[in-house]
Amino acid sequence: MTHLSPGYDIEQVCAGLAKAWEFLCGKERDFALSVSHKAVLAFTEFSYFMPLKMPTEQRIGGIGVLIQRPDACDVAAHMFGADASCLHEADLHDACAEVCNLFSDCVALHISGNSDINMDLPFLASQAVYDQITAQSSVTSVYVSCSPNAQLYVVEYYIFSQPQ
Amino acid sequence: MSTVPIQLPSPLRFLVVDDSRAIQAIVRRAIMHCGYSPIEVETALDGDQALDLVETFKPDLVITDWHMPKVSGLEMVQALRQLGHEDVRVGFVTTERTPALLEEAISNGALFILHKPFDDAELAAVVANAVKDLVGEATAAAHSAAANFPESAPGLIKSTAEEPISHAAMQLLLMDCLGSIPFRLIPHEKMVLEKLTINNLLGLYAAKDIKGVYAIGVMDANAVCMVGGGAARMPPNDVRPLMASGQPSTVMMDKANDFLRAAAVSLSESAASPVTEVTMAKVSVVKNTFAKLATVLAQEGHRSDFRLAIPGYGEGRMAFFVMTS
Repeated sequence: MTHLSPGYDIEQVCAGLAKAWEFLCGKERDFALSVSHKAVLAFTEFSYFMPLKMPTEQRIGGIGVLIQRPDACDVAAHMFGADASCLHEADLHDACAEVCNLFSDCVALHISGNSDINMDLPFLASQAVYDQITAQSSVTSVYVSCSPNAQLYVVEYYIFSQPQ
Repeated sequence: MSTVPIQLPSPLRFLVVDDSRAIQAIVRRAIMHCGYSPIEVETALDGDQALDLVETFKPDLVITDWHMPKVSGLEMVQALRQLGHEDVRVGFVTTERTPALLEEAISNGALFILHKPFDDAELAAVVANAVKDLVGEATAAAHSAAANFPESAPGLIKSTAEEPISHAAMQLLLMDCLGSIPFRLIPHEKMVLEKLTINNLLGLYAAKDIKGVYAIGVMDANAVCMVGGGAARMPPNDVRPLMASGQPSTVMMDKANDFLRAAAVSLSESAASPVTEVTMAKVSVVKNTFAKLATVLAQEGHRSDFRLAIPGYGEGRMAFFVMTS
């Protein structure tokens, strides 16, 4: 993992992710920088990505958020203020897209220093798209949060290759 | 603490615009806790739908996301103004931080820009400020959010001995000081000696019937430039060089002094009951090597720490301590 920009404060990124998760899910959760991640970054049915355009560096980075179903249910239940059993699949995706949105903002704040970063809209990746992204993009860092029944990954890409 | 909402003669109408129905739900719930009755809330999934609803629903306040498919939040506000809806109040709840874009939103009349994640008290504070003319006197409206917050969420606005100035109280102080300048306030990030600027503004507070210093407020040089520069409505291009030099101008110092003086009111609320009047006794500039400063910053409890970010200006830190010994 390379390219951590000067001033990049891992503790603050973790604190920002934890605060965003608490806002969205209503639960406290710890996040930590993962030191060995390649084996565990598996596709999930709620794999959302956010391209980040960095005008000054002339590159497109990105954030991937890999959410497993138990977390998707929890976060959607909290956001909609409803029992998970009452929610539709579209509700889970709606909530997970917003998780990607806020997590991307947390990380982007610390990538950029004082330069602007343009965030796009989050998009859902299929298995095939996920495979293309992982094959053609370079990972800077991975943050992980574990609960008894799910693991949640936030992946920062230095170069993000979005399949057309 | 009262749980009775402010009764209005006619419903206060909110239009929540966000492409995420989940965020719509969160904002809707927060609005319900703002302490007004009756209220009506409509939702739209993008700017296009919102423009239609403005015609029919006639909202008192539009709370919109920025990034949405089709018509973005900013484009919607611009369209609203072009269509002659100059009087429709608009505020943003967003992750957008690009200074030029935020300034464009403000120039189109956005009353607030609240960054996600927010808490209910923050939203209550900006909503109260946005609709104050509709619900009565400005101060009554601003404090209504605190006075009418549900019992289940105590302490969100009111300051306590453990947290001498709450996040929402500081939010209101800054809104008073900065007017329409958008800012982001991040609480609970401890001010530490290692990250302090060389020169810092130190305010000493006294409390009636309490011997010695009751409380201390510390603003680093960046916060002095931002709060002082913002209060003096200085453009970002004038503020940034002074921040970089660590040398606030005289007008910035004067405005920052005023800000510290205004903070005494919030500190009064943290004092023992019955409320003790807290006043500012002295303000001085101290170096980060000042020995007493290290002792104060090491204090574990009875403190409120804030990181302040203003688009186009930068970031600064401030903290308030109630002396425990």
